[in-house]
Amino acid sequence: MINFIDNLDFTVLALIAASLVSLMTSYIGVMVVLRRIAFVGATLAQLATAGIALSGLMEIPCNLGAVIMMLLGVGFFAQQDSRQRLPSEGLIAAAYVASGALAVIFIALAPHTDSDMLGLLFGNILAVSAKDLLFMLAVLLLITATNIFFYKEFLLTSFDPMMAQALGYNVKLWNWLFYLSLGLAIATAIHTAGVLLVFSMLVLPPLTGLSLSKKWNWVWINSTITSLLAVFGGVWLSINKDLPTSASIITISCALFLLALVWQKITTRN
Amino acid sequence: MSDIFKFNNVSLGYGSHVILKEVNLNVERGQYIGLVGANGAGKSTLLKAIIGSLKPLSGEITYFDDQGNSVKRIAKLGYMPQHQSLELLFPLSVFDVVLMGRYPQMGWRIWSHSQDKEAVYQALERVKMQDFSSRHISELSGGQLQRVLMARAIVSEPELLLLDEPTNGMDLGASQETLNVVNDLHKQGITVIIVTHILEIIAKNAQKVGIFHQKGEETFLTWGAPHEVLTSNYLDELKTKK
Repeated sequence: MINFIDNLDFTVLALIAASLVSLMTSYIGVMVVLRRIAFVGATLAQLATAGIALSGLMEIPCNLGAVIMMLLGVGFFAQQDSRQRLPSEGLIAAAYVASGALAVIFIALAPHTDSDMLGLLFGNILAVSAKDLLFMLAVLLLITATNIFFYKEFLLTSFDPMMAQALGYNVKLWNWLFYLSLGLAIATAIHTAGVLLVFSMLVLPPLTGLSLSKKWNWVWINSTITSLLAVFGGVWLSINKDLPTSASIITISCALFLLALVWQKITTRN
Repeated sequence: MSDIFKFNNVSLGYGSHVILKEVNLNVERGQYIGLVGANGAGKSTLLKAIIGSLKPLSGEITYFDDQGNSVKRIAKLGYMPQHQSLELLFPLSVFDVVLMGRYPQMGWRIWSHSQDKEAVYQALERVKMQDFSSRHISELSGGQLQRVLMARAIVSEPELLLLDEPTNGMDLGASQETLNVVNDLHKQGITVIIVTHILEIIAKNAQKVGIFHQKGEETFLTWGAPHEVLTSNYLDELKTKK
């Protein structure tokens, strides 16, 4: 299987990788946007990056470092309470800048700081391996199954935590599980796609989906379709016009979101 | 009548900050309870403690089943929040929101059976919102949304109904209809706890009243029959705090 995938053209591999990232993030991103925790997503992505840099320093597998840092972040964010003394936005910002600074320090201290490490940090979707793809596919299946199976619990604890508590749901536990699946998606996608692409895929397609429909299933379907459109368009643009892949995908994703906004304006006016 | 829950010297708050001090109360099955107090007096804090989402800083909360045995939590609880506390950007229809009240009955199922759908439509009919089931929640007025949340609270046929300012945002007619639904449910034996700033609702219907009032830095709850606690002193205090 690995040999077969490895023999595929690099553009096909890049397309598959970007599609897997897009499927992983566009689905869970809807809940991220609705819970107003987009910057938690950005911070988890930054933490995963610091984890990859830490892996370089400690010479351990990069996914392991990303998962360790992501778990620390999940533990921190799942414990957040609206009644705490400090505002959560400030704490998220603090975690974001701290993880960014740590990533830079870890790279500076790493014995093999070179372009490979920078590739790992900022992602190089055109250099993805068969092993990476299979790992991403396994994580995608796990996250999708979790989000479908626990759809009701994630929805209720996000929409109305107090009602969830009244009905006997353990809101803290469900928050943990949600952040864990989010963190896992980010940590897995990050070293293929890089911080900026993962963060944008987590936010832009779900926003597009929400602009195009007011029904759960359609929001998810629209989010996934627009995310895949951006991926295919971005990879095509990158190969044919010799442009950076991630930036091309993000730009197309932004354009689709703007189009959706225009569409929303037109349809609500009528 | 047997108690459904009891607060014994319960102090509530967050961290080291005490919001409500030494609350003593007992609610009997089938009672209609009114909670009244100025904004920020601790009404929501008390509701959170009843629901079980806020643990007491000190003292003890005990819940009982209908046999009088002590249990971990109230098994069938209907809760209606204030609509302002909800995020209306969620892509949910009125049906989807009311169905949430049936989630415990649905177990691990993610799709609704015909009995779930029937329960949802019946609950919507009780609050006269049956024609709105496919509407998106952001397309409703404040009063309509309150009625949808009321339908969600009663769809699982609760033994205790907690209502946080249920008539908020409603015109006079809709308020009266909502209160009639509450009264009907109470007549069927459901215990009702209603948080409101409208004293008339409490004076008319409640069998027990809790009034939040401040002494210095701390808030206390005075608990008793309406004629015992709705005295001119407390009412004056409420008027000045509002």
